[in-house]
Amino acid sequence: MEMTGFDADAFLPLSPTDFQILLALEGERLHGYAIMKEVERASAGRVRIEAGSLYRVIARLLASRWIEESEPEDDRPRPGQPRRSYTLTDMGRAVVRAEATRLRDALALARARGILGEAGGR
Amino acid sequence: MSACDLPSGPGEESPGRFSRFLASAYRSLLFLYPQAFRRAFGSEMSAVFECQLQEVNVRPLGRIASNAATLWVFLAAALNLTVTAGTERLRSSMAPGGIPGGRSNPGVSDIPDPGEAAPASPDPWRPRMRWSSGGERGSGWLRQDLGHALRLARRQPGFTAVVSLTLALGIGANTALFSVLHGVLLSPLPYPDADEIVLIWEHQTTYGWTHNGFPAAPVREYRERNQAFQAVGAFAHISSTLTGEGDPERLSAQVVTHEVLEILGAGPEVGRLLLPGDEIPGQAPVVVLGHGFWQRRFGGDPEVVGRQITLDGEPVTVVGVLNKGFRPIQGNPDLWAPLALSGEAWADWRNHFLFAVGRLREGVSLDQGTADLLVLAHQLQQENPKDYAGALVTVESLREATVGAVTVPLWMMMAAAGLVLLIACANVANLYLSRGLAREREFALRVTLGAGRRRLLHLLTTESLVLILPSGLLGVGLALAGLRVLLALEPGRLPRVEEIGLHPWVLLFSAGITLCSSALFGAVPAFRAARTNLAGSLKEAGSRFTQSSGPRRLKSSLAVVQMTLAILLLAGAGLLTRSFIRLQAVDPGFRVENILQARLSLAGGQYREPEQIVAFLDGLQERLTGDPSVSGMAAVSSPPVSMTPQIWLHIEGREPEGDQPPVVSRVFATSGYFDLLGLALLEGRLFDEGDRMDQPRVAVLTRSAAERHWPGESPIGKGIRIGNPDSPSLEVVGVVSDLRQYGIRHRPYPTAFIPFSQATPREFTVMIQAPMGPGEALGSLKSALGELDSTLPLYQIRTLDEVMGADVAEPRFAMFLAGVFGVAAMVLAAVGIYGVLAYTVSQRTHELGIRLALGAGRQGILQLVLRQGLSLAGMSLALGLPGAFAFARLMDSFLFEVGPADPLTFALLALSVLTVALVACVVPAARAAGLDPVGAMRRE
Repeated sequence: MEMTGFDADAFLPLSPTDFQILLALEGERLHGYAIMKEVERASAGRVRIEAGSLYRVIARLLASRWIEESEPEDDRPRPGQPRRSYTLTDMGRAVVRAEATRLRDALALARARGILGEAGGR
Repeated sequence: MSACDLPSGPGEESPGRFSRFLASAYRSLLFLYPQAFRRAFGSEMSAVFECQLQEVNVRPLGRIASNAATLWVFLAAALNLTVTAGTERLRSSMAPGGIPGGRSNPGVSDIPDPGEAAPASPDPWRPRMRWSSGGERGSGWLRQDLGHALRLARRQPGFTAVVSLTLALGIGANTALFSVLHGVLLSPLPYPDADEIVLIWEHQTTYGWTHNGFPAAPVREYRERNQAFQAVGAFAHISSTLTGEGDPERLSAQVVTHEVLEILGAGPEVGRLLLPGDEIPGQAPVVVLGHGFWQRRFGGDPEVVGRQITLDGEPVTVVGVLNKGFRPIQGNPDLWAPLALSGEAWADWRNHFLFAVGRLREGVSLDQGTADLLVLAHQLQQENPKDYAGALVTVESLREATVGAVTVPLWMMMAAAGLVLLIACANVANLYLSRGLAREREFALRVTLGAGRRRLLHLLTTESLVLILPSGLLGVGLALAGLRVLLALEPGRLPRVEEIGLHPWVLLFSAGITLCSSALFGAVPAFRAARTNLAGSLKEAGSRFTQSSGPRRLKSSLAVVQMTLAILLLAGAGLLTRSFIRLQAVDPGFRVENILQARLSLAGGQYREPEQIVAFLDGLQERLTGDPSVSGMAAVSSPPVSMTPQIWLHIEGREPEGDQPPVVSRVFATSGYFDLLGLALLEGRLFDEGDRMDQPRVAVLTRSAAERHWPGESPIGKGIRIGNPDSPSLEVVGVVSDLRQYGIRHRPYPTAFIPFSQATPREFTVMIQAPMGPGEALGSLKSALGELDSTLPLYQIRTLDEVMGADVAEPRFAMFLAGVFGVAAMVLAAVGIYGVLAYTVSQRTHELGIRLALGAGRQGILQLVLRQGLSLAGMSLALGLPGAFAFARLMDSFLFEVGPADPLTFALLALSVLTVALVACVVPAARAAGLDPVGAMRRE
């Protein structure tokens, strides 16, 4: 998709949940449960998303065209398993990058002001 | 790899009943979402939830820990679901439009593509704004209204406390009773395909006994000749003395054919269960231990299998232990032994000691199974006209047999709790209504300033949620405490007590009633508010003089409804109380005070001959004589209020009138028994030293037995036979006063006493007159017994007082519960009436002031208010009394010597309703009469 005129910065800042979910989908094709697990793993267990919140966000991200459903690799029926998987769209990727950049800049600013100390610790 | 891409684990392939239940509960919760959202994501969400459950199940946890973890996952998911569903509904109601569901949702195509729209428009459509605008507006409202509601709750602590407590009580009572109802009645029985399992009894039509035991012969026939059953097994209850390891102990046991444990789906924890081969007489005796007994007595040692234990002096081999989850039917035996009957014993038609359990063939209904056995019963009657006259069968589903007796009482209690909740709700609705009316101006102002109906609804629902959610939590807490009290007071007759708890369904139920109440109280005043005539309300605010009577009428109706419901409950409580008082006043026919009783069994090797048993009792008597703590001793086969066999009575020289001879209760007793219980000798003599084995056999009858069989004449000197027609003849030597052998609620039954020394049963009750108290007497009895034979356990040690107390424990419990509900209902209803009157007086202050100023007497004003209160009570009585009468007829079977239309109860009821109403009127009436006319008119 051509991205002329799409201003990803207009959507910043992202809510932490949106950001985590978009990050989880970067370069991956995941179904809902896998997204939950990935977010939990990536945040070392600090962020947990329940299914209700997850699908509300997914609904919103789908409507925003930041993510899309991807075709399953095969048509094998898998009972009791989430069937739909999601991937980032170009727009979604742009937004998540913009947010990451914003965070990086914010971090750099904080470092420069010495809030985080020399070592950049927590 | 599993479906959810989880590492394989031990529990993965079997999700377990609990998980399956939670998964279906989660699926039902999905209905909280708006339809479009549910269609788009519902199945995905439930799949994700199942993956979460699977993740818990693959963890190597114990069963309890795993269930707890599963429940935790469910609670977190369900809470999240409820909250997001609420937000989603709010969003969808405010921002109507398609829910994007990916390709499947056609609504998506209507949404312009932001990528294309962007260059064309300077103000590109911002998807996030569109999506969150609704949400943010909603959460903005939520934040705003939540803050408002919390401030309001803090500002009116009285209102907050009354509403929260009232509802918490209602919710707590309902949660507690629903958890009982759920555990006992609604949850499935813990057996595989429990619907197929039935209990089979002999129905002895001659005596109207529907739940009689079978002799062995018909059981054999039913077992072999039926068409409708996969299997029929027989069992009997016995008790046995365990000696040799630690203290001797009396154990309860079931002797069973191997089918019984198979039908119940039992499995072994260790070792094996019973096999058909164990039932062949002459085999080395074996037993299977119950899990609880195994834990208690053998510390759960698996090495016990193969060991020999000593039961009634005989060595018996333990072959296995039943698994932990197994729930026995009919009692709680410590061990199971094979029913090893000889061919001769299987041909017996007389000794009714067997019970039968069957499993219906697949697809065969209970009625079909019953019909099959009834056809067989008629055949058996024809084949054995002498032995099997009048005998049919009763077939009961296991569920009916287990919980049938408590089904109606439990539903009645649940209904009572439901009524209390309704009354509580009516009270809260009334309070809300008053506040809603008082806030009419505020609402009018809000509407004028642009708040829509939905906005008002949101505000009021939030307000009531803030009040009611804590009530729900408090209610569940109260339910937990209440359950503990309930189960502690419960007289031990409730089946399946171990299943009672705050099961997820129970919590769902509480959440349901909480949310319904909250929606009700939020919505009703809000709709009233939304209907408010703006200009009218704002204008009217200046004067209460023109207040319409509409709200007052609504509030009055609510109060009348409350009081009517309370009358129903109080009538039930009153009748049960009256009936309990009647019960307490009944003379049992025997002395109850200072009597200690304990059961003994001489089923060991050294008591084979009757003389040995007589010698044992003489020895015991001798050791206790002269002991100051024992002033009398007797032995009896069946003490008062115990299972007492009813046995054929043949009168010599007389043919029985019907097919079957009449029956009497048969009691073996020593000569001291009559004195000990204070039974009066009416005629002839009691037993004496001379009534020994080698002397002529004698019997003493109770008055009712004498009057029934020898009306108008004396039975002394007559010959009777008890049991079989060929049993030894007994001479009636005496008549004693009647006693209520089967408990205080049952009329005295004709009874025949036979001297212990001429019958010598091996198991009996020792009764002791204990003038210094039961503790002392028990000490003496134990030491005397220790000197005689230290291998004998004493069991069922009780005072006769305790026995009599237990006999009326059920009606006492029923009275207690009904009383709690009735009084709670009446207090709530009184608060309701008070609320209406207080409101009316405050609304009419101006009018009352004018009346006073124009010369109306204070007494007149007082009467005005009292009349209003009493007319509310009168209306409630007019509605409630007929209702209570109808309601009471349902309870007829729980009443004792009190009719459902008991005039005294209903008169007292009417009186107390009027009194309570009067008390509720006093404060508002006094306030009205004490008004300062000038001040009242100047106000507003």
